[in-house]
Amino acid sequence: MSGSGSATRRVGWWPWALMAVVVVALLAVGTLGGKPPTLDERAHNLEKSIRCPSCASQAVANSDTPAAEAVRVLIRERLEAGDSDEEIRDYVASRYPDGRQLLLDPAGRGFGALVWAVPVVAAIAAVAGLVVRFGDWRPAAVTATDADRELVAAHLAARADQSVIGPTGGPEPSVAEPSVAEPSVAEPSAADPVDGPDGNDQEGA
Amino acid sequence: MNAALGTGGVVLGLVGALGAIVTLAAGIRGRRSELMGMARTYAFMVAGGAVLAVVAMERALITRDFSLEFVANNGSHATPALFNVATLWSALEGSILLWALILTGYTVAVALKFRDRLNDPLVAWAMLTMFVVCLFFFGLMLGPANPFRVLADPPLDGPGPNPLLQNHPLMAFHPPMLYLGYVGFTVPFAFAVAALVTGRLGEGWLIETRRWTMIAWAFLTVGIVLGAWWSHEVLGWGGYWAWDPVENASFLPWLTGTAYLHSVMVQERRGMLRVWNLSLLCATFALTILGTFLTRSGVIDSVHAFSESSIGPLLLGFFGLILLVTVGLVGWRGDRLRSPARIDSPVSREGAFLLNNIVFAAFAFVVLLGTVFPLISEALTQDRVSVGEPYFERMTTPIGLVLLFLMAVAPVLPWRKASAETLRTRLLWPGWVGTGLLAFAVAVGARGLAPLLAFFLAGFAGGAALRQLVLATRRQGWRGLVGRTNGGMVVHLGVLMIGVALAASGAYSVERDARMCVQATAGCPSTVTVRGHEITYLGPSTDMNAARRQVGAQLKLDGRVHEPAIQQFMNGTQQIGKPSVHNTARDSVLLTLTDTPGADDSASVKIIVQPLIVWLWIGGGVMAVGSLLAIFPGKRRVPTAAVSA
Amino acid sequence: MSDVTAPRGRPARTAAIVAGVILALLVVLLATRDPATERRSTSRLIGQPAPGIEGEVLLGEPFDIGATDRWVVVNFFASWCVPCKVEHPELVKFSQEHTETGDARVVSVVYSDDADDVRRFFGERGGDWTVFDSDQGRTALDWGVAKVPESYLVAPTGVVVERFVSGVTQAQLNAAIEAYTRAAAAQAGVSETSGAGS
Repeated sequence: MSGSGSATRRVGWWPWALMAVVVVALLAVGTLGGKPPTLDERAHNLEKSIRCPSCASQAVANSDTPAAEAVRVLIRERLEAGDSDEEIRDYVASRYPDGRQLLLDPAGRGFGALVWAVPVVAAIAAVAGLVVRFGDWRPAAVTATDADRELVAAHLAARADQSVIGPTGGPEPSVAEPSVAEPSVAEPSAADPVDGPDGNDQEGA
Repeated sequence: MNAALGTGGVVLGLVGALGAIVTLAAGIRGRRSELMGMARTYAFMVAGGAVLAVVAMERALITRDFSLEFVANNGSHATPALFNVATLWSALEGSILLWALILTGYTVAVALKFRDRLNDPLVAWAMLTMFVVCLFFFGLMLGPANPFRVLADPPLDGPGPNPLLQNHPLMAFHPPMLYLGYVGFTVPFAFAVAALVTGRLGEGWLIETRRWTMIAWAFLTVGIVLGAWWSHEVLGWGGYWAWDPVENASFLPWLTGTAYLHSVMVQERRGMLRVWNLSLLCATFALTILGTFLTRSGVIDSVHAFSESSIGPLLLGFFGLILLVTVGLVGWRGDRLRSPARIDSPVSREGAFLLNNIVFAAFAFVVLLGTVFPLISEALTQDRVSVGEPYFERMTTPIGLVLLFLMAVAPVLPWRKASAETLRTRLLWPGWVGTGLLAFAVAVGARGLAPLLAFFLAGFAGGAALRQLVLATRRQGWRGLVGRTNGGMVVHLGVLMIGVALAASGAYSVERDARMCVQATAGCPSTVTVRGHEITYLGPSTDMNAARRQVGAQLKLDGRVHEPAIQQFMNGTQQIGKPSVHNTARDSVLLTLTDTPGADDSASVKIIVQPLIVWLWIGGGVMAVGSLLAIFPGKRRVPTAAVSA
Repeated sequence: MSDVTAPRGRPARTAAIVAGVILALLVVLLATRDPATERRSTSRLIGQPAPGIEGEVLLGEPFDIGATDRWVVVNFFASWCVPCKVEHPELVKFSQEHTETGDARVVSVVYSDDADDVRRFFGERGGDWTVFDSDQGRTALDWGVAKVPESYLVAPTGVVVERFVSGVTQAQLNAAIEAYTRAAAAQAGVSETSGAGS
């Protein structure tokens, strides 16, 4: 009902502009002008970023061993003495042989920086690779271009080729018209909600 | 007696698996369908072996037959009945036994489901793959993980399972669920290998195994959520997920499995991403084995200190074999099997799924890299580093936000190509739902960019999912909730509940350490108030039994008495806190004793108030329900071309 | 046919090779690592100068671990810990033996316990050596104690030479002292640097 209604009612850009203004305003209210973190919050964050010296992999915040308790006391003392978070972390690390091992987020320098950089670089590379690979994403594809013709040729050739491998049916039954064959068995009332192309038939057309 | 019975079962399973492999290989080679058809008999044989072994072990555990080393190490007279049964999976050998039981169960299920097509080479190859996996696990049980080792000089009593695993019934369900998930991925993996080997990479086999993948995925989801719930209830630091290597090991296959469940739809509709989908299935299975290796070999520091064993190299070898086979097959076959279809527009359902897959792959990569990075760093630079919660949180927050955004937009995108107008129209009211949720959050005082964005996007995505469900139910009544897309939307709603709960509890929890006295004095109040919850100390309590001594504190919280305690197990070297949790829809209050209540009528209590925690577990339940809806679509279309397509 | 279906080369093969190499490296990496627990125990104090013990003295006379020429056994314990009760008589025997010979002594450090309980523990079970309080857990933190009981053997030179977890016996301690004494003698001796006897 409202599905078809919204199809006829054209939605312009202005409701979205209004929404954007509201969202940005709300985010600004919720983000700007925050109080600086209290000593308690800083302590808790530090406890989460330092491993309990006697545990395998637990953070100080998650451990009730005496060793974790001792680090908590230490953090508290240094915070009250006015040290910065980084100074406290360095101080705790300096008290141990191999103490950098206690910091749960590797430093952003040296070899440890890789753990931060590699995923970011890989993600950018993956997206860039996709963009290159599907480089002919263009609205112009609506009118037939050379690229389209090539595409069709490639499809046809592939079809011929694929039918050698898989004798039953074309390789692309779905490209032609996806839902023709599929719902034919199901009752008409349950016109396959699974693959019903969302509201396409409801609103899109 | 038990040992003989159990060993007999293991040998039966091993022989059955071996026989099946030889028979099937001969059948496939000689195209002899009567040989391939014997897979069913062999499936029953290995399953019989596994059942026999499990029955023998459970019998030994229940009758406390301490002549078995496993029972002597993990059982005790003091362990209550439910935990006695669950002791099976409290240590390595028993876990492998459970794994084998579930694996053979799946093998029988596949053999029965495909009983009419066992002579199809594709199915035969899949069965063969499953039997190879069976062989490996039965082999483990005859080798380093033998659960039926006998002690010449049996003790009179055993220590019982790890105390932490003894005090909550959730522990009885978390591991079996996890294993049902892990092991379930063997089925699609076997079909993926079969498809690669036979070169029949069409959609037919995929439709057959999609539901198996859904089932495995649903079990894994439930297992992970139960594990988180258990840590929240039992460990007492208010956490439910610590990015511990063992937790990551269970999360990795979940990530790749989730990616697969999405991208498989692109293959079904558009015939694309075939090789990628196969690779995801293989990766998922390989990651379950890698996870088991990381958990059990002790190569990585973890809270989950499992007993050490020599099983590590074998698991690693098996992992290597899987990689060799799958990477080799993909390299050999992949290019011939690629689909020529292309994506028309990035703004389309398939475009969104593609992006979804990149994001999930990135997610899995981050988790895997963070987990093994300490090893890499030590190997290459001799530098010991740790990678923990702060790293994972910082890296995964943006990934999570992108996923929320995709969950908002993708469900309304049509296949092939979307116009800006379609999007504008369909997304309008979901957008306002998100805006409303954001406004509500800001109004009740939520602050900080990441959580607020999470609330907005979660509301947005919730609106999109509800829109789909409303449209579908309006068209078809209750049937509109059933089926993959609609069940999937229910799953999305569960994920969104979890997402909101994660954001809220991560950002707005308060923690307070209080020393409390029965008689209030200066510096030692009898009542404290945290976030509107009033907690009053009533006095200490003690409880002793044969297995443990428990010293607790009676605390009245909002009118109800809770009794967090500290337990000392007779055989333990550690004191274990037993927290008390009070859940409401709005928030959870966790009470933990930080010290044994002293004689001077004071108690040291840690009070943690976390908003919306209970929605993590409800969200997990909704995800399970949604998976069920997606698995049972009622009368569905019959796949057009049976196996080959 | 591959030039039709795969117009841009063989991406699947390339990807498989790249992934295969990376994964092979991962397997090699995992295969060559020692178990984490071993790394942990070797990474601690062994071979390092013993950290100070700065807690308050609960029992016995004050003692400075940096200013002694005897072997020192630093024992971390708690009265609620069952294996600590088991090992205590062994420490008593060891202490008695070496009070007579004068070449070694025991000190204990409380781990998360009540002062009264500790006094009762020593009252009931004997032992006349120095007991330090936990100094809010700092001592245990400096020594890297994970669970009690844990004992460290410190050589007269002030270097930690051995760590014993979950209980220690008189015989173990004596054997360790003897082994290190012999090794030190061998090293001091003319040419036998390799005689790290044990």
